[in-house]
Amino acid sequence: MLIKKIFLLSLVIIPISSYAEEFSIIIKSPSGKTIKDAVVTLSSKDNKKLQTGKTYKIDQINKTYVPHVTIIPAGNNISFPNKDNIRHHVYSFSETKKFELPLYEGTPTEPVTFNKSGIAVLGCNIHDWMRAYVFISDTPYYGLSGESGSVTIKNIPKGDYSLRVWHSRLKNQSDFKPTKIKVTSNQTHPYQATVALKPAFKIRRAPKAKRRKY
Amino acid sequence: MLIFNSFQARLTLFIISLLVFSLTATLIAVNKVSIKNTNNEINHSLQISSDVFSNQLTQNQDKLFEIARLLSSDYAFKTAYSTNDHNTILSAMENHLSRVSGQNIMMLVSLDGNVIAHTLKKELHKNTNPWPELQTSAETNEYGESTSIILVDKLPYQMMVVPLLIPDLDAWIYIGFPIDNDFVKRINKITRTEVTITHTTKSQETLISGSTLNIEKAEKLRHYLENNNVVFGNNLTIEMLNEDYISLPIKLNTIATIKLTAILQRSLNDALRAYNELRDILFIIFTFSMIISVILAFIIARQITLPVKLLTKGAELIENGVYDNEISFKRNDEIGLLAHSFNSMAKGLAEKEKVRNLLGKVVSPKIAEELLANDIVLGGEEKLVTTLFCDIRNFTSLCEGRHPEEILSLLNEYFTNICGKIESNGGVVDKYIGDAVMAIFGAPILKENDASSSIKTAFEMCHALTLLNDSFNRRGIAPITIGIGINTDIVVAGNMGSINRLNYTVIGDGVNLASRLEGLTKSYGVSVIVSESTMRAAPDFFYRELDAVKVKGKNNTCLIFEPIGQIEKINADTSDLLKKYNKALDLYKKREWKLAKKEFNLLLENQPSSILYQLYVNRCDEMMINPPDQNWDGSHVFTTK
Repeated sequence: MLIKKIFLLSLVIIPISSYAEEFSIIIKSPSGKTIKDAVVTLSSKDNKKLQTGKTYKIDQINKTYVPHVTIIPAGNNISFPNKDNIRHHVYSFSETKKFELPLYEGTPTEPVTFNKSGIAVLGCNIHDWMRAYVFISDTPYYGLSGESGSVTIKNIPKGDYSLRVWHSRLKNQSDFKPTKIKVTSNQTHPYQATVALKPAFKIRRAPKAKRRKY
Repeated sequence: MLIFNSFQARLTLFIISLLVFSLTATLIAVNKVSIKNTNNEINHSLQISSDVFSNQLTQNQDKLFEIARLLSSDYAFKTAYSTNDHNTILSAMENHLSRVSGQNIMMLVSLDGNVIAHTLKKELHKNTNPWPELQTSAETNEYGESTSIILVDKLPYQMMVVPLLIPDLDAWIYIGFPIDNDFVKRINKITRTEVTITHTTKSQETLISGSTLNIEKAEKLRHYLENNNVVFGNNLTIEMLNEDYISLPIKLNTIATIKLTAILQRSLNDALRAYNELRDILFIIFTFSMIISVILAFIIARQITLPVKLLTKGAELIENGVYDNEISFKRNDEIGLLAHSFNSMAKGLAEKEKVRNLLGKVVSPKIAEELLANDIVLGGEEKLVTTLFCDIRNFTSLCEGRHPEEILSLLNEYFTNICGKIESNGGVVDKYIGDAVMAIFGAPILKENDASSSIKTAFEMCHALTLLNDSFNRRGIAPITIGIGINTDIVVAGNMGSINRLNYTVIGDGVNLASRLEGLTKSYGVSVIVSESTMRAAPDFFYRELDAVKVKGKNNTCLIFEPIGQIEKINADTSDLLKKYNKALDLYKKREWKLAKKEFNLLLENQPSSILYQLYVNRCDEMMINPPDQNWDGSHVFTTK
C-alpha cells in the first residue's frame, strides 16, 4: 500500500518537479506605488484541469469580510462563517453568481458553489460598507498581491500564457485585457505590471453620537 | 404790485404762503422718507426672500439626496434592478417616488451612459443619457454625488445624482424635483415675494418656467428680461403694467449650457400704499386748511381793515376841520378801545380848535400861534417893528346923541372894515384903545417889507374908510375921519403883564413916536404921517416931507413925511406939484420967508382947502415976525401931544 502511495505520489511530484517553474510579477500604480489585493491569472489553451469540490472560507469578523479578496478556481465552494454577534445578510447581484444568505448567525450548513468563472462582488444588506470580492478563476494559475504588490505563481509549466491583472478598483476595464507572456525557467526579475486604480466612493456613515460629558 | 398795498391782501397772502410752505415741506419730507424707508424695507425683504429661496432649494436638494441615497441602498430596489427587466425597475422607481411627496422624477442610467429607466419620459429607455455632465461631475465627487439644474421638456429640474451600489457602483440614480409654479408658490407663501423662474434658450429666447405673477405681468417681465441684461445680486426697478417692482435677480446653479434665473420681486406701489394714503390724507387736510384759513384770514383782516378805513376817514375829516364825526364800533377789543380813544381825541381837538379860534380872535391869529407855539414866559426880545396907530378924529361927535349899543355897533363896523386890511397885509392888531387901533408889522414874525406893508395898509384903510363913509352917508350917519401914524424902530416885543394875565405887545420909544405922529395928522391936514425911518425902510413909495418936528418929551428932531403913493403909480401932475412944494419948503428951511410964503400961496391958490399950505403960510408969517435964532435946524416944536 505504501509503495502504491509513493508511486502515485512520485507520478505527481516528478512531473510537477520536472515542469515546475515560477512566475513573479509585481503590480504597481502608474505613480510607482505597490498595489495590494490585485488578482493575477495566467491562462493558456491547454490549462490543466481545475481542482473542484474544495470549500473555501470568507469570515465576517467585526462587520468586515475577511479576506477582502478571495480567488477560487471555478467549481469550488465558499462558506461564510459569521463570527460576529449580530446577523449579517450576505448578497451578490453579480451575473457571475447571484445569491444571498439572509440574516444568519454562525455558519450556514450549505456553502455556496461558484461554478462560473468571473467576479462576484459581495455586500451585506445591513452594513453598506461590507464588501468582499470573489474571483472565480478559470485557470489554476493565479495569485493575489499583498502589501508588496508582488505575486509569485509556482509550479507553472513553461510556455505561453495570457496574463491578466484584475483589481476591484480598476480604472479602465480595458486594463483587464490579456497580455501575452512567456513563462520561462530563468525569470530574472519580476514582471512589471502597471495598473491604474480609481478611488472608491466613500460610504456615508452617520457620525456616532457623542457621549455627554458630565 | 397793487395787491400788496392792502393789509387784507398781505395778511391773506402771508397765511396762504405759510400754509403752502409748511404743508409742501411736510409732503416732500414724508414722501422722501417714505420712499427711502420703503426701498430699504423692500431691499431687506428681497434679501430675505433670496435666502429663503436658496434655503428652500437646498432643503429640497438635501431631501432628494437622502431619498436617492436611501433608494440606492434599498435591498428591494437592488433586487428589482438585478432582474434587468425594464418594467420591473421602472415600477420599483415609481413605487419609491410615491413614498415621498412632490412631483419628483427619477432616472436610472447605466455606467456607459444609457438610460435604463425614466419615470417621466419612458421613451428615453435605452437612449443615451441626455445630461452626461452630471454623470462626469458625480464620478469625480468623493461620494459619487452631484447636483445641478437641468431642463426636461423646457422645465427646469433640480437633479441629484447618486451611485447605485450593489455593493459596487453599477448604475447612476438620478432624482429631481421641478422648479415650477408650485415651487415658487411655496417661496411666495413664506415670503410674500413674487418669484419668477426664467431660462434662456440657445436662440436667446427667454421662457418662463414658473411665476407667481399673473399672466400679463409675467409676460411683461419676460419681455424685459429678454431685452435687457441684468446684474445678478443687484436690485433694480422694473415696471410692469404701470406698477414698479423692486427686483432681485438670482443666478441658479445649472450645467453650463442652461441659463436659469430666478427673479424675486416686490411691488413698490403696494409697499407705498400706506404712505400714499398718508400723503392723500395730508393733501386733503392741506386743501381744507387752505380754504378755511383763507376765509378766516379774510374775515380777520376785514375786522382790522374796515375799522382802520373808518378811522382814516375820521382823521381826514378832522384834518379838514370837521370834529363832530363820531366813530362807533360795538367792540370790546383793541379796535373798540382805539375808536373810543379816537372819539375822545376828536372832542379834545375840537375844543382846542375852538379855544385857538377864540384866542386868534382876541389876540390875532399870528399872536395866538406865537403864544401857543412856545411856553408862556414873561419877557420879550428886541425886534425891528413898524408900529401903526390909527385913530378916529371926530369920535366924540360921532358918539353924540347915540346909544352905547349903537356906538359900539358903528365902531365894530368901522373896525371890521379897516382892521381886515391890517391882517391881510401881514400885520397884527396889537390892541384896540377905545376908538384907536394899534397894529404892528414885524412881530412876532419879521418880514422884509414890513414898512411897505404898513404904508400899503394905511392906504387900504383910507380907501376902506371912503367906502364906509359912503355907506354911512346913505344911512344918514356923519362921515368918519381918521389919522394914521407909522414909525419903524427897534422895540421890545414879548409877553407883558403878569404870568396869569398877560399881553403880547411891543414897548419902546418907537411905539410912542408912532402914536405922536398919528396925533400930528390933524395939524398937517393929512391922513398918514410916517417917520424918516419908515420912509427909508419903504423906498418903493413917494413921500412929501411935511416938517421937522420935536415932539413933546423928546429932544430929537424928526423929519416927518406923508406917503403919496407907490413910485410907479405917481402921475406927472402929482410929481409936478411935489416939485413945487419941495421948492417952497426948501425956501422955508433957508429962512426965505417971503419967497417961501409966496410959493406956498401959489400952491394954496391951486388947493385952497389944503391945511398944510395954509400952515406954512402962517408959519412964514410967524417967522417973519419972530425969526428963529441962528442955530435953528428947521424944526418945529410941539408943545402938545
